[in-house]
Amino acid sequence: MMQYDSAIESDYSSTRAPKTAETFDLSLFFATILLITCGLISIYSATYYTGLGEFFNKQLQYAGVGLVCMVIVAYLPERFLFNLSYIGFVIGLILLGAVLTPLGKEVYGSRSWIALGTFTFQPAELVKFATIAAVARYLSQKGTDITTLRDAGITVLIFGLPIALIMAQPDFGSASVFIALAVGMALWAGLDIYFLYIIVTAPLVAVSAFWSQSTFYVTAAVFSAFSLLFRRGIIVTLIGISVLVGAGYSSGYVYSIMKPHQKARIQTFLNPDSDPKGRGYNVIQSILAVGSGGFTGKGFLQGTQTQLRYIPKQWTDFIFCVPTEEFGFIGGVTILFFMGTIIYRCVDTATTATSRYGSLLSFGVATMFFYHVVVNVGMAIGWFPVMGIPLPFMSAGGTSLVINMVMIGAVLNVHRQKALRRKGV
Amino acid sequence: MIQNIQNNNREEKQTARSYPYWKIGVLTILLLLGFAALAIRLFVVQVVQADKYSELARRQYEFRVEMKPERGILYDRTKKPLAITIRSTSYAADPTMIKNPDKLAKILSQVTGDSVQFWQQKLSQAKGSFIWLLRNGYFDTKPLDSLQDPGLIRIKEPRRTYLYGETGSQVIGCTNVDNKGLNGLELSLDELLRGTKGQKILLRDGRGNIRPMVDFPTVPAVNGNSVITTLDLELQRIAEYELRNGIEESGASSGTVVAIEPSTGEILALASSPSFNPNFPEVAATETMRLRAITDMYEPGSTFKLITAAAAIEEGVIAPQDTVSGESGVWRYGDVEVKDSHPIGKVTFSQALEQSSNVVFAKISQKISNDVFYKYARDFGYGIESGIDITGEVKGKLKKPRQFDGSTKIFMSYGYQLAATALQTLNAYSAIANKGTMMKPYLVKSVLNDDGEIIEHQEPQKIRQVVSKKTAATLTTMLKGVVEYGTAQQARIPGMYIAGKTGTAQQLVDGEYNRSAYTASFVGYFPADAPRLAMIVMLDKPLTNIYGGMTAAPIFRRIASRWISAKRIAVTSALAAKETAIDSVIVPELRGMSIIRAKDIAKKIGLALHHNAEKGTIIMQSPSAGMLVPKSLPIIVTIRTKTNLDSTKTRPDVRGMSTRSALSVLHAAGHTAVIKGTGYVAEQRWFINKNQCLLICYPNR
Repeated sequence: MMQYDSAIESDYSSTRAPKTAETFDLSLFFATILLITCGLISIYSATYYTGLGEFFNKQLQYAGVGLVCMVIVAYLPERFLFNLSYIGFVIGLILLGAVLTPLGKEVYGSRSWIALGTFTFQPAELVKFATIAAVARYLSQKGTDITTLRDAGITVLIFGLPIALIMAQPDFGSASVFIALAVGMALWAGLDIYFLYIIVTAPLVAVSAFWSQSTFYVTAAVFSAFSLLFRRGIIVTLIGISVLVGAGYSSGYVYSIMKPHQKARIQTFLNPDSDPKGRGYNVIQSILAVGSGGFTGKGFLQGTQTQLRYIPKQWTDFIFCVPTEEFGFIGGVTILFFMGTIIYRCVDTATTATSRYGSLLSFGVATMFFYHVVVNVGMAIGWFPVMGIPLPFMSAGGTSLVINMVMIGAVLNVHRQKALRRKGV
Repeated sequence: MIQNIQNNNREEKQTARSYPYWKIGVLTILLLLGFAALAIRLFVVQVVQADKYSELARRQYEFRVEMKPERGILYDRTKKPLAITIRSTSYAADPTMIKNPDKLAKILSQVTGDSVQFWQQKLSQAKGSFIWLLRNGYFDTKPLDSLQDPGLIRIKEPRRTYLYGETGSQVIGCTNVDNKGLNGLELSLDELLRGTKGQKILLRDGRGNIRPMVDFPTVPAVNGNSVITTLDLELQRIAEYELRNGIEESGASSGTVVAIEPSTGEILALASSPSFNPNFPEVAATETMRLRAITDMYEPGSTFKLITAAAAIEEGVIAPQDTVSGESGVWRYGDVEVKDSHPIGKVTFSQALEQSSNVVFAKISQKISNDVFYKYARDFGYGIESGIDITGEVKGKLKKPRQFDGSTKIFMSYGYQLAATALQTLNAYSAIANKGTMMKPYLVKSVLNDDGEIIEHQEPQKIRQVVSKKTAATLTTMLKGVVEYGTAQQARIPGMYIAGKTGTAQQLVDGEYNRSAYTASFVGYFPADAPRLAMIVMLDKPLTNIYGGMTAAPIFRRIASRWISAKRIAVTSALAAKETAIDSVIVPELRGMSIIRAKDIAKKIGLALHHNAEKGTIIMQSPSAGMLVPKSLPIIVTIRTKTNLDSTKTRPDVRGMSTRSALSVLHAAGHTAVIKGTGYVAEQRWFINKNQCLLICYPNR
């Protein structure tokens, strides 16, 4: 590394500005661009015979806007984002609140949109980024320590506000993103791994309680027994176990207050074949699309499931079916590769960042994308219930695309700051 | 405020690798695991299970449209169409798409006459996206045609139409709503007629819309072949009309008529009554669909005497003019007692046939060996399928020589202990008509392809020579006598010699011969010397008169004479002239009279009277009262004498007589009677092992 540096210095004057290649994370940038291109191709195919070409045009326009935003954010001065974090968070919360006023627009039973004339956008997408930034800022401030009750409490509060507002829409899918973010960022900030264990296993116990009373007892007992291996203090251990048991008992209550379409989704998830024409329809059609694609796919615009519109709204949540049906396993793995590259670059930036703020921010972004990918792809192949989580960079949706690109811009920014500091510029 | 923000802005700096290695390690593993799991799952779904999902997807999006072929036409022998295919509109519904189910239900109820609720229920309970509403096209669907509802589906379907309704219904058969043959020729020729289905593959999208797709090949439908049958529509209609009238008159439960061209075996008419309308097969009773002439077997009774006679003459056992004895109506052989309903004494063999004497034929059969007798029965087609080209034929029952016991041949000689279809009996007579050569009966003359070109033609097929030409001619002469002088005079047609034989067979009901269930038949052919047509008329359980000569023969005569005039077959003028001379008389009722008085009456009308005693009351007579007989024919009467004292063996038939005369006859024969009702005897039942019978009487004859 030192040799490489001196080699450069020998060629150029020491006062020169670093070359773009040295400060700009090109692999993250190109993985993003390529993934967006895959998304555009998929949307083009998904809407080809439907006369809904405007989805493709809009997405293309938003990709352009997003590209500009991404590059601008990548080159913002070092503490610009840091300074904007709280203000952005407050604005985001106000917009989320506005959704519930007459400014909001209800689509498919949830008030997720703000409509200003013909312009609509989803504040929840913005708030995802704003929350990541706000938490990153809070936890990176001097004197904050996630392991103290006070700071853990404030962190929970920062996540809790958007979750509460999004649940009011209601949009459980988006709300679950914040929970995933909370877990990821808190752990990255130094939260005891024991809590990770509890946080991961508690939902499993809750889900097992849906099946039957006995599976609930078994999973709760097994996970409780394993929690003893962490050898934490008696009080911490007891808190953990009571959370596990409580999660199991409360799942029944949560289920009871769910709306019918949400209950139906859970039923469908547990047994999609029970109602092939109704609630399980999307899941079955989706897996038929993916499975019938085979190794190399049916060819561009040749996907029968896609072109014959068996999957409703497949240009949004079920976009993953399109490339997997038309380009097969190869197409699916390619998309996973680009997605993996993006996440890997974000994590790498998080581990090597020179600022704690940048590290937490990058890790939050990585966590969010990872969660989105696993849930969305898992949904397409029948692993997760249908819960309205779009596939980043691919699903049609302007707000989501632009904000996701801004987040990549933010990570690029962190990377750039790190590279510049290493250079001593 | 500014100060505060500045405080908040103080950020902790960190150096590279400030995170513990284990944390990064765990993180990396988690990331890898997540992506690996997704990739593996993708691999399983897309590569390992790809075939399964492809098949499921294909089943979902492929929509095969059957292209229905047109079923071929069935013609009669003159190429008049009997069964044709027309395109009619069927109605179905997609219950998920119906906009206004109540309106549709209301219109459907108007069309079909079912209640509105019925249709509402049918529409609301339907599962899936397709139900048939109306498929048969019998209804006036005008109200439906004007209905605009996206859920109403109109489908053009080929539908079978039978132009002459019930005429020939059993032989022509019918089809189901899917145009598949159910019975008759429609069934046996189904493969020829139905054609080959075509197929068009379309694509069905997620919303149920059908889209054409050029990539898939279209296989066109191939229309079925047409068939020209041997049936003569005109004769078929005459036969059915007369059969129906005859059944009505005689009170029979059913009947059949078969007509065949003796020289070829072509079947000209095949009538069964009651019949059904093949345009509405769903409302037809199954028994009306039976082609009785080939599916039902009966003990033939006296018509089988032809075979006994053929065997006896061909084997030289007897000649027509040889004298035989009718033993006055009763002949015992071992335990077996053979009786004639109209006893005769010594007559020629021809006369015995004319009078249909069981006794004479039973005696003659004893001069023929079992094997030879069996061989003749078999050669005449009993106990084997005739080979007619229509499904459903039964082969009847014929005992093998080794199954014969002491009495088998005796009973068989006059048509019991074997069972035959009407067609088998007719074919035996047809063989005699055809100079001893049996032809295979058939219905399919030629097969035409869709363009009307003959692709197959069936030639007449000889089965075998059953007797010599000479014997056949002899038998024809004898059978002519039956019609001229014997039991079948009701079949006579002025100016035309008819050869034929009556049959009156008791039916086995639950293993016992039933005195109230008879099969009455007449089978014959004409003109006797150059037969154009052989025909059998068979009635099942006639009520008014059990005798084939009285019930079946008149039907034969009516059909034959109408056909003769329709076909303009020349009648012999000499014969016609002879007919005008009165040489026949109606037989008077002699039963119950003293022999002296009967002699008086017979003398007055010019009939000879054969009697077995000089004194006493007549208890039986043959021919029976009301028959038209030539003057040359003697009336044979039976008086109770010492030789036939055993009254259980002499059971006079008093049906049709007044109650008073019946009682005096029965009394003279040594019987008593229980009487129900008054007037004339309609039914007579004997008590088992008693000299007593039950008479059921009605005021009118």
